[in-house]
Amino acid sequence: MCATIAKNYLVENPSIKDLYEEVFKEALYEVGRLWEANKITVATEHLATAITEGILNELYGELDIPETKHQHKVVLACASNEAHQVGVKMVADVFEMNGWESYFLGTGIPMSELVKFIQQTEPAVVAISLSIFFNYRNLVEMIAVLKSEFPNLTIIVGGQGFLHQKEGSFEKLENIKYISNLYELDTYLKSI
Amino acid sequence: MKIRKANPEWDALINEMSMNSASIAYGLFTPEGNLIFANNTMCHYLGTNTTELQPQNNLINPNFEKIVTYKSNSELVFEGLLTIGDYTNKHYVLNSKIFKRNNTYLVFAEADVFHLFEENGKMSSLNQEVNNLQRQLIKEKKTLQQTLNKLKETQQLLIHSEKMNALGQMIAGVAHEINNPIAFVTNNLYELEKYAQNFITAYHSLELEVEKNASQELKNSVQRIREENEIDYVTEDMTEIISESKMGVERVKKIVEDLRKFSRLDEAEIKRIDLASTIDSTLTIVKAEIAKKNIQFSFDSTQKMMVDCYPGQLNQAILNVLVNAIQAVNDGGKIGLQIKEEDNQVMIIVEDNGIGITKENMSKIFDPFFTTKPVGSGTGLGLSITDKIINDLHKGKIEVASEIDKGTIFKLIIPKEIK
Ligand code: B12
Repeated sequence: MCATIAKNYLVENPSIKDLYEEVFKEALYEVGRLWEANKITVATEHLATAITEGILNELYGELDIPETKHQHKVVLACASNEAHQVGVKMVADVFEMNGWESYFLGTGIPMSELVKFIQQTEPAVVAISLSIFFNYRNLVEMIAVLKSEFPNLTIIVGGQGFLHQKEGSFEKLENIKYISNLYELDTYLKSI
Repeated sequence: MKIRKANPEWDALINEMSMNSASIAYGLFTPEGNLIFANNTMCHYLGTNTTELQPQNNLINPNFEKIVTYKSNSELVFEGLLTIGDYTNKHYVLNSKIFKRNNTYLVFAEADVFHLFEENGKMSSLNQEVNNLQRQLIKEKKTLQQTLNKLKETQQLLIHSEKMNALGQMIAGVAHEINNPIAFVTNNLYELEKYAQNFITAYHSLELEVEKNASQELKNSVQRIREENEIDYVTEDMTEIISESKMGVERVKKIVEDLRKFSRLDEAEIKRIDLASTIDSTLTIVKAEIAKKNIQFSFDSTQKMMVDCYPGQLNQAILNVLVNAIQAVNDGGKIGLQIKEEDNQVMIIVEDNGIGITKENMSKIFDPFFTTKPVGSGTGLGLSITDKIINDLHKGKIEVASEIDKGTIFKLIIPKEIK
């Protein structure tokens, strides 16, 4: 049902980015507010997320992906200990819509596996998502490892964890590009 | 219990909160298992409410028959898992303690929230895993579909090139067969022309002789023969017929030559060719169509431009685009063909003022089997073949610009030299 509504939305406004940013993201942020205020149960929150991820998968099957000959590759993962993967999944889709080959690893990938995977796939970009500020230290450590293993790798980061800056002390990340949303990402990808 | 003593004013509130706590359940029971008092959650587990305190005796394991037999040195008579509720329907397993004081039992039970949190986390990450696997599957399905499409495309291309091969062989065969008779017909025509000329000259001399020296009788008889056989007309027409025949044969020769050039079976390899003259030979094939639709066609075939290419294939690519242009224009429409050289690249530009290509079709025109032509009149392969020939074979590219009802421009761009 929800998938049908999402598809109808795309008929009227064929921008996937709008659908992701203005419908899915807004809805999940509201779910977060309701959950925080104890207005909905954890089960309801899980259901909402599961439905969203289900639709994302369905839409992913129908993404209009340009066929390019020399595809760039991107590996996408969440910062260690991070359990939020919906946002970075959208990020993967935007990469694909720009003709990139995406490898979405989601949450819970051990650092050693990530390094191995990058060695195998040789991506041009690694994208890491941070949703919760207290995982920031993990992110900094991850980046340090990646930089020493792959000095030429482009690393981009994003996620709402960066919006909660005031809650933690954030040291600056050198040579790392922070991108706040899908529109910005799209512009960035079209510029490189 | 310090808090209790220090904050007696909180007692009521703490009591009330624990009455309503969702994770702890407690109740006082008679030895028969009848409820005397219970908090909300205990009532919930037992399927009753705090005012009715029904149903009774709903502890499943241990049940009250068992509980009353338990002996203990303290008030605590049982500690462990308690199954509670309606056994055939909804029931719960809880950590519990049961105390006995006088003739009353306190049953205190709680859900293992730590365990629940853990399970919840596991479920959450399992759910993510399933989701990610699903995504992976979709991705693989897509890749498979793409591979399948590519295979289909290649298969069609193979079938088509097989057909073209067969056609080419036939054309080459026919051309060869026709070449011999054409050669001697041409020769004979030249001889015939010479003989006819001699014949006419001789006849004129004879006539002059008769005019000068013959008797009236002979003159009359010659005049009769001359009229009966329309000699005047015949001598005049004979020259014309012969020269027309010569032109006809020349044309047949050119057509045969073009067919041979087009099929180019002998040229499956890269050759340096004169582009304009090659295109010219391709044009022979569509000339009739152009004339039939009264199309204003322009092409400057005198331009000299040498390129490295697979001549037969390049011809095919250009022909496909031209055929589409011809089909796209109305009667009396315009088609322009140009060749240009730029930065070591050669551009073959076909421009028409036909119906144009819609935006939604634009992305599909190079797909195999995509066609806007009526069923049966196009295979939908033309442009996909052109695409293969230009992109893959010649490492070039195709640019298309189109506007509805204004026309379409196709640019076939190939490097001047193939490495
Ligand atoms: C669903 C959800 C969960 C699910 C996630 C399931 C899943 N499959 O992802 C589960 C149940 C696992 C979960 C767990 C927790 N959650 Co939670 N969760 C949410 C919720 C409701 C939605 C998240 C979401 O998908 N948002 C929608 C996406 C699209 O938005 P986004 O992530 O911001 O992504 C956008 C951009 O940031 C950007 N982006 C994201 N990543 C990247 C990466 C790159 C490279 C780029 C370029 C861009 C980019 O692109 C997206 C589109 O614009 C949010 C509410 C909220 N405000 O988001 C809370 C929320 C994030 N969770 C929160 C908390 C506290 C938790 C827990 C700590 C709760 C707990 N005690 O168990 C745990 C943390 C577990 C852990 N170790 O990480 C808080 C965080 C508060 C804070 N200040 O940090 C939030 C904000 C809820 C709240 N209002 O309190 N959560």
